Amino acid sequence: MRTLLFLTLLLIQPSGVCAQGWTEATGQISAVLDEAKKNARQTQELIESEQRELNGEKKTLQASVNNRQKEFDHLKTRYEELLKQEKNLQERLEAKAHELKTIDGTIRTSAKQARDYFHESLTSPEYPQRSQVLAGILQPEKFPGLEGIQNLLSLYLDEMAAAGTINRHKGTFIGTDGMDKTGELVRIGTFTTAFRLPDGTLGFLRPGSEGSKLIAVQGKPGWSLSQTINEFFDGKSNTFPIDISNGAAFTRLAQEQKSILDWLSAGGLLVWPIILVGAIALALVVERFFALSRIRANSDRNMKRIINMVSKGEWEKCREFCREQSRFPTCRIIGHTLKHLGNTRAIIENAFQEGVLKELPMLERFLPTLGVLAAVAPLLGLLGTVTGMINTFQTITLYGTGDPRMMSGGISEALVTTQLGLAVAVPIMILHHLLERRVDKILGDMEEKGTGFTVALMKKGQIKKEEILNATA
Amino acid sequence: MLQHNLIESTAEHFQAGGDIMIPLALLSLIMWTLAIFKCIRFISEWRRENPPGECVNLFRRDCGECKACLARWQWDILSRYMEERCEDQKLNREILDSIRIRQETRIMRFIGTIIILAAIAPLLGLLGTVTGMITTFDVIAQFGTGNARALASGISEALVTTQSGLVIAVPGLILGGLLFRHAEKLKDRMELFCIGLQQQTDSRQT
Repeated sequence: MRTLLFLTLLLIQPSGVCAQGWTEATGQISAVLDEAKKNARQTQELIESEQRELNGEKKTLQASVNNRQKEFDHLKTRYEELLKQEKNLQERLEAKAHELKTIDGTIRTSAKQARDYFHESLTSPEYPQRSQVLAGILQPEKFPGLEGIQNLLSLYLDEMAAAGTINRHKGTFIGTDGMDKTGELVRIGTFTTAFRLPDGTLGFLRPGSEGSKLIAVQGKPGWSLSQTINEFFDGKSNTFPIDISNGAAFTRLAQEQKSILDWLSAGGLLVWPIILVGAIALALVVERFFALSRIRANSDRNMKRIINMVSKGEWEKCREFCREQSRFPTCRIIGHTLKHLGNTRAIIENAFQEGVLKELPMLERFLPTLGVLAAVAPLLGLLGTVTGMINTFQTITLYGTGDPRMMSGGISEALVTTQLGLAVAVPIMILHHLLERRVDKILGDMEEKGTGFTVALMKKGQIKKEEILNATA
Repeated sequence: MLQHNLIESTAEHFQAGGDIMIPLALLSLIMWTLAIFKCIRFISEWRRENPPGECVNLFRRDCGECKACLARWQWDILSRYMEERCEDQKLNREILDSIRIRQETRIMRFIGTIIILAAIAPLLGLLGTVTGMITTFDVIAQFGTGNARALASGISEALVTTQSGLVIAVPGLILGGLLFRHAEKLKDRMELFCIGLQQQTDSRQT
């Protein structure tokens, strides 16, 4: 380029110019050349500097590109890592959510159970906040959280603690007539709550349906039970009846209060003939006892007087006395015998025997009947039982044996008649036996008196020997 | 200790029987009292029996001593007969018969009662059984058949009463039978005694 520029400049120079002009021209040319050279240098420098600048810029840009690339790669790997992590976490979250749902369900179930349990618990009226706590736990669409779980636990723990305590306090409850009553209450653990009213009425309580009130149980505790409860209330003793059947015993309590009429009506139709048998037997026994006791009481004394009269020979007086005392069979017999005075011994004895035979039906009246009644009563009872059993089996043919409760009622009804029949028969048997013994005694007594009387007559000579009688005839 | 346990178990057994056990126990007590009383009487009288001739001699000699060493029925018959005797032989026999019949009823006394009580005991046991079964079925009606403990009380009531009734009845009937037989034999001996007595007295008179 410099050579090119120099040549050009040489060409431009005029050939006909003088030397002076040459030097001058040379000078000028060299100045121009210098100028041009300077320019060229400057340009050169400029170009170089720009080139350097560009190069530097390029370098920095290259470096930044590299940096960016690195950063990008790094971020990409990071992103992928995070994606993986996200996937993992998603899986874990799903697992946890399932677990949490299970826990929630469990808590709700146990809270429901607790609600049902506390509704039937005797301690609930003493903890009125229970129902609110349970309602809080049982709110739908809301996880109860740790607080709810703790509350539920504390409810159960309270119940456990209460189950081990005996609590006496004044309180209100709903009486059997449906009115609110206030009295002294005793709660024994979670088993039994009993009350005593100011007027001395005793009874047991059961929890109401919504768990906030106590309701008095139908039926009264028996006499001995009442005494035990009263002594406990008065602080004299530390024994108290506990119902461990969770209220099932109260139905029995009400059942035991069943009137006799209820009990009888359970036996069905055949109860009435048995009762009739019992009533007839009772009437007969009373009649017999009355009649026989009267006979026994006076026979000895009367006999003494009669023998006395006979030994004195006061026959008329004796007959009179026998007529007066004709209430007594012995006197009647002797009065009958006195008509045959002066006959042979055989006739007198026969007369006496006749008298005894007349009296015998009077004495033994109703006794065979009583024996029959005693035998019939258990048979009637058995008949009732069989009838009841037949009904039971008819029930079974209808409903099958699936529910023993269906049958057991009929069976226990059936057995009532047997029970009644036996209960009637046993006393009748004993009384019948006693009466029979008494009649035997009276008969033996009569025989003896008769012999004594005959002997007395004999001693007075009122009995003739046969030969004498024949001789007079 | 053993004795204490025995008493306790007996009491438990008694309680398991329920209300019917009380009349059963009473019945058994009466029955055994009568039976033991009769046994003792029979044995003591049996050892003091004397033949009729000796009796009459004793009676003639010394009344007080005679009463002490004769059996009671012999003394009763003898004293009554000696009191009421007359000349007529047939009448004498009548008198003896009537006296004897009275003695016989005295001997047979309570034996019938023992047998009747022994016969009633199983009936009472049956009554207890029926009562226990009613309880059992009531329990079934309330609790179903699941509650074995509640069922057991009724069943044990039923069985214990039956058992007690039979336990009372069997020895009672056996004892009653033995006593009855003994009494029958005693009656025969009485009759013999009476015949002997009449022979003795009549032979003395003639």
